[in-house]
Amino acid sequence: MMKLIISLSIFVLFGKAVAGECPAGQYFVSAYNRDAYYRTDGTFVSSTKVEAHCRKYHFSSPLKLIFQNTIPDGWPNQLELFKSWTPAEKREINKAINSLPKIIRNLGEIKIYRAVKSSFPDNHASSGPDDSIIVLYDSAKKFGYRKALAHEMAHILYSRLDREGQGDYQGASEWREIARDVYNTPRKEFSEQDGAIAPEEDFANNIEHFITNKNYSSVLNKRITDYIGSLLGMKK
Amino acid sequence: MKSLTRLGIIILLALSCSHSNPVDAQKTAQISRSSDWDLIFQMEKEHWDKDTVIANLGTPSEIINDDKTKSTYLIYLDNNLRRQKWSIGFSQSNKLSSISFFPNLSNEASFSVEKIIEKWGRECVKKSEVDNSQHFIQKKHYLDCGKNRKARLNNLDQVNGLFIEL
Repeated sequence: MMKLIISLSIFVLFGKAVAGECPAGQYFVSAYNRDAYYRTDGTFVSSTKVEAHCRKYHFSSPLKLIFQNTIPDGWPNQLELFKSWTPAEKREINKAINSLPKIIRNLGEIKIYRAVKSSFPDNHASSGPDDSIIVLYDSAKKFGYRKALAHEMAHILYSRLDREGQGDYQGASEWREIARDVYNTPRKEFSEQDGAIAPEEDFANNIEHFITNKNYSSVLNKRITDYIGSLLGMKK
Repeated sequence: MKSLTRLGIIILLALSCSHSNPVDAQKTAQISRSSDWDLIFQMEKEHWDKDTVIANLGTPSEIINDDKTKSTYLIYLDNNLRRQKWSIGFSQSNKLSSISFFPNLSNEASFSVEKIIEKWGRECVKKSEVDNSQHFIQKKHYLDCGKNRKARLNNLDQVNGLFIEL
């Protein structure tokens, strides 16, 4: 019994990654075999077994919201009318953002814009994740700034995940890429209708519901819930 | 006794000759298991049918009949990491229509940008597309290597998919 306790203590002390358990800001990578290959200079590199470990996310810098008052450069929806933020709106946005999970508040500089109405019907917010841009429309206030921001920040988060991070989500949520940018899933239930289109929208909807919907378990299956909980550091 | 000694020496010599290059044999064994590029090239060149794909890759993890593309796809997951590795598409007339391969941690060294240019040729050009069909704008980056061969890159310049349309 004493030997078992000592062995377990050593295991814990040396911090070997336990399946799914990683510190905040890191994600779990299962053990895998790295294939042998030849470098471009002809050097042979043998195959090797890589032990399970925790890996840091590539992104992690404190959020800096930059409120913008005119249309973003190159914005494709040219008919949308942009306007200035009011001081009260800025306060509400800051309050909403500060209530979101830490990983979302570690996405660095985000430019946030204010516009009247979306080119897309019944749409409260838009984003350009690769350019770290969010646009909130008049209807976002009634919809809920926290929900709208959780959704659009989730788009930015997804774009920052590496290949394995996105692959983990697609695996958990049963998305398959059958041809270039053509996706398919056997799932019949989605937290929002448009989540059936592609994994990016499905991801953003699920993050939004996980964070803001008390009854999220009625719309998210366990595998997705476990994945998101681990990603956000919010075990439920 | 002398004849036994001679016999022993002969046997030892024979054994050492059969394993004359253990390091090369090990390399060959390791590389032959990692023949994803060979499979990609063969499939594309020989236009494999479904039976040939299954004979080489095994029973697919899933078979998807897609209404949008009117095609059938054989889906293979990586045994180790349990993530999608292949999608092999067949048209309604059962002809090979697409090959999609997804690199992962196990084989990423063989599917770097440099390796793709080495394998697919110097004519590979980096391009970007903007997709604003949805309320969020997506920028997609890829290497266009001609002959309907494309390698998609994520925002970290990792290759996250190789795609061939036939």
